[in-house]
Amino acid sequence: MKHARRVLNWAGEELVLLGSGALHWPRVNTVLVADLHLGKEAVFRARGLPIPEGPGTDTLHRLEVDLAQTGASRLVILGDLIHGPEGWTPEVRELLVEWKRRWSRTLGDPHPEAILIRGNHDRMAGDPPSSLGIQVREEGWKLGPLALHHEPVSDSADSVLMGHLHPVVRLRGPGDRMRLRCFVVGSRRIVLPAFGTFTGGAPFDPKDEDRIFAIGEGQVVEIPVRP
Amino acid sequence: MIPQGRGLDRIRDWMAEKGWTPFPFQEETWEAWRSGSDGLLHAPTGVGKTLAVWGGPLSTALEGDEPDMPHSIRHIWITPLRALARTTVDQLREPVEALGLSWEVELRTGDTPSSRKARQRRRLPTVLVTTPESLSLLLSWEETASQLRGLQGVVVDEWHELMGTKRGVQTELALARLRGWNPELRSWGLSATLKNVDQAMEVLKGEGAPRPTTIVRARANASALEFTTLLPSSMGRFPWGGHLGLHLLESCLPHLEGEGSTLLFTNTRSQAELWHDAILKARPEWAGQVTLHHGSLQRQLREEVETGLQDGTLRCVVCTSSLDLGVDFPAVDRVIQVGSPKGVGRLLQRAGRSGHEPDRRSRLLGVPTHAFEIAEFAAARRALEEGRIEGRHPLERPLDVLAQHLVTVALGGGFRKEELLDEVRTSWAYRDLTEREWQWVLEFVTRGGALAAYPRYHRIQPDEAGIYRGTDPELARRHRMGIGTISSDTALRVRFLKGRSLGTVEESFLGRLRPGDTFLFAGRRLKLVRIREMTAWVRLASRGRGQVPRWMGGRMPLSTELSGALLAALHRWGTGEVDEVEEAEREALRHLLDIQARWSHLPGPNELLVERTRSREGHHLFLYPFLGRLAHEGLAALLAWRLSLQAPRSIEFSVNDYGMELLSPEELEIEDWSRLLTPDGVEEELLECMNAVELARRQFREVARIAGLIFPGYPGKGKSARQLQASSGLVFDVLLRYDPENLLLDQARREVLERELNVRRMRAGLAEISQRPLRMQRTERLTPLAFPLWADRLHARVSSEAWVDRVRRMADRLERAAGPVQSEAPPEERGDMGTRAGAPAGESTR
Repeated sequence: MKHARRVLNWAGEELVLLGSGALHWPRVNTVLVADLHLGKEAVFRARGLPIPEGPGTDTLHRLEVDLAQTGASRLVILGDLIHGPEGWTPEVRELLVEWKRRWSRTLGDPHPEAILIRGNHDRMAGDPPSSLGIQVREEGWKLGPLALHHEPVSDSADSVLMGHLHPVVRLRGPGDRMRLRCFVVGSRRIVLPAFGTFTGGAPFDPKDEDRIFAIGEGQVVEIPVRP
Repeated sequence: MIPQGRGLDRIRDWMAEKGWTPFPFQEETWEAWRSGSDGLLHAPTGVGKTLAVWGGPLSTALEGDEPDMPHSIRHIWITPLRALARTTVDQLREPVEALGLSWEVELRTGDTPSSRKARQRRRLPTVLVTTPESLSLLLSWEETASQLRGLQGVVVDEWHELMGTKRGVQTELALARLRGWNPELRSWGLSATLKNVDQAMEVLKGEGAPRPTTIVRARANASALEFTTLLPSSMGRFPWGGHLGLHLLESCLPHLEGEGSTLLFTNTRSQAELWHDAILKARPEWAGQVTLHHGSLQRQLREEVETGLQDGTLRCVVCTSSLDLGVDFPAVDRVIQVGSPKGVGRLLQRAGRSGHEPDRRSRLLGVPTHAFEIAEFAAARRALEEGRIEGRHPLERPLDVLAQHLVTVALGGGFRKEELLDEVRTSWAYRDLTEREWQWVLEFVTRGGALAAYPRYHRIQPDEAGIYRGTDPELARRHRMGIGTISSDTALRVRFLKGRSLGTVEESFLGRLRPGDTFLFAGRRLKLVRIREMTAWVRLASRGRGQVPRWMGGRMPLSTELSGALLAALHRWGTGEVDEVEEAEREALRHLLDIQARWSHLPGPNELLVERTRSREGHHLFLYPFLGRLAHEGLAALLAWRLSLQAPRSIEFSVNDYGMELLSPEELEIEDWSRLLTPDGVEEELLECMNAVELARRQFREVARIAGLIFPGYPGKGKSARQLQASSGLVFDVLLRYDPENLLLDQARREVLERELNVRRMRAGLAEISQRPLRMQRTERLTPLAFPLWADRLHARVSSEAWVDRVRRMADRLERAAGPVQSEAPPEERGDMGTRAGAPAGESTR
């Protein structure tokens, strides 16, 4: 079955998987995304690989749409906002400033809350300038009962939302193959797909308890995990 | 005429000491070289080619009429395979040392230790043996330019292999550069038998200032070839692919038992692994005498085999095209070809591996893995006798290779744009390079493309004097690493936990294995321990069945020449016009041909056979254009698409080298066959119907790597390299959306048409078959020609074990319907409809 969104009851909370790859948590009025990797184009260009500008604009545009449709007043980025040191270009700053301004205007709130769980790429790229008003938190920062992480954590007492892995699921049919980004929902943790337009993925090897929700064309589709 | 010269006399004396007499083509080549001509030596494998092109340079050196530059490079020898380079060095060195010349002959390939490479950069040896990549790499160092000005000659070995590939174009560009430095430079190519020899010469010499050229043809002696086909005692009348021919192993073993050594060629590396394994299982006492050689094996392992071939200590080497190419070793006693010969020239080249020395006959045994291959071998033999060999088509201006070259030249001392454009246009591939294409490529490597989209991007830049140079040592380093990867796919090294490396296997195979799984590789049963940092760590497995890696590109299509010859052979055998040699072969195939003729019709060269039959699956339409698998793939998609335009319907298809099957729920009404088969609009329609975007995305991988759009990544390069990882598919999507004018996207599309779909052959094929009269047959069952197509289509749908069972069941049923083999009369029973009983629609185990 295809849905533009998928509601889950998980760890006692109602969570909504969105076709864009974002996760909406209505009770705390929050949207969560992982792995934006803004400025990746610029990092590539700085190292001699000619990738054009554009994907970053698309990433923030999709984020803006999700925020507008959910009306969320808080955004949590589960790590890797920026791809690398050369990623903090004037263009990227300008994009973020504009995006924040539009979100604020749509919401009618001068200071919507944006939080970044510092990911491995962010550590290399450096924190956002304070003028952007993005608060930076360390791994394991808690929102309600859930612990928010970028990288996997082996022994959390809490239920965890995380990114970092860029999970994709491979589908194979007669004469056809597809790779789709996906949410991986286990009993104790949910892995979000990479949200950035210019990000790749790695096939995820699901455990028995995991459910896989692929996203594509704005839809969320549950993929049966093979026994 | 015997060329004169003291140098040549000394060479003749040396040859006489070894008991050799110069062949006429050697004398001819020496003379041509000495007169200053460029040239192409066109000869079957082995037989003194090396000495033919080497004698000229040696003789002038012996006469001392050279500029007095004791320590400068004089000759470059380019070979397409690293594996061949070392042997070539030995062959070039032998006369150099015997004749007392003080030349140094050295190797420079991707395998050369970096310390030696660094030394060579400072001072090149007198003679350098190298690959196209390594030569290109050399051009990227500023210090090499001045050294190469004294270069006198370049020899390109196996030019027929290189021409038609991007590495060939890379060679053309390197030659243009070398000639730019020294207009007197002589270029010689060595080529196996080829149809378009004159064109091969044109491409090699380029479009620069006119120079004399000489084409030397060593006489191929067809009668010196003893070519037999192994005829199995019984063979099914309903042949299907997927056989590896192992059922013929028993009949092959006696041929390996005698004195002397054998090369056993297979068409794929996986087949080689399996045959090697099976031979040793059947004859365990041959351990150590039977070995394996293919292109994925570690150099050291290959060299052990090559040494064994030199010493004559091996009984049998199971090998693939890795031994087609010029590794020169003493002739073996016989050559066995397992499975379809695929091409006439290829078979000739393989056969030439036996009986090298003058007047020793080549002995070739063809081992058909299914019945029609008996006819393929016969067709190949006839084509050989008539000298109908395949040609190779050189590539036209691939922009990815040009982009790479511009960066290479910028690093290697820099260039002025007008000068480099002129130079590039002297290469054959870029002779018609347009101003727009040139501008675009220059823009691409300097600013990335359209300026607004690529802020702060520079790969190379013009300085104040207008000379384009590299901008960053780190970029330069990565560019150089990238040059070598022009043609390789992502491959993982296979290595024992305790050290030794065995070779490489494509990631697409290893990625499917889990730790603990076993597989066959390098003639060993291996257990995968883990995959880390581009290496698959393995240990020997004690037992287990073991999967066999499938390498990409194993499925070569039948050549046009061979397809035509095959059609002619089938017709000949059908009408009984056979000579003595063919009698036994025809006899082996007679029952199959009888059934084909009785149930349908045996097609001739001047008609197009069409068969229609019904089954529970639906309505089958079979066409047999005999154009080869690649062309049929596109053609089937095109016909299905054209038919569905007339009325929407779902059409499934499958193809092989002989023809295609179109399957639909309702009968496909075709009123106007000539419209259906018209070659008009083929390119546009194909792009529309073949999911061209997806195909181009896949093709883009190679383009992106060569043009420096993606960074292939190297083992153990840590975080900074990982930050630059992006798949070519992702880059393709980004470019398609944000820089759709990027010409590399066009190139990927063009390559899909040319390479994946072989549109050239399709267009020619359509033009030809649309003129052939149609021979329309309605059949009650699958005919011997139709059966393998049906089986292949099924294969795509079901798991392989279930597939083998079902195909076998179906073949049995058809055999029964065909009646006893002795019977000449048509069978009476009509109840058992093979297709209806055997192939219910939609049954699938997935």
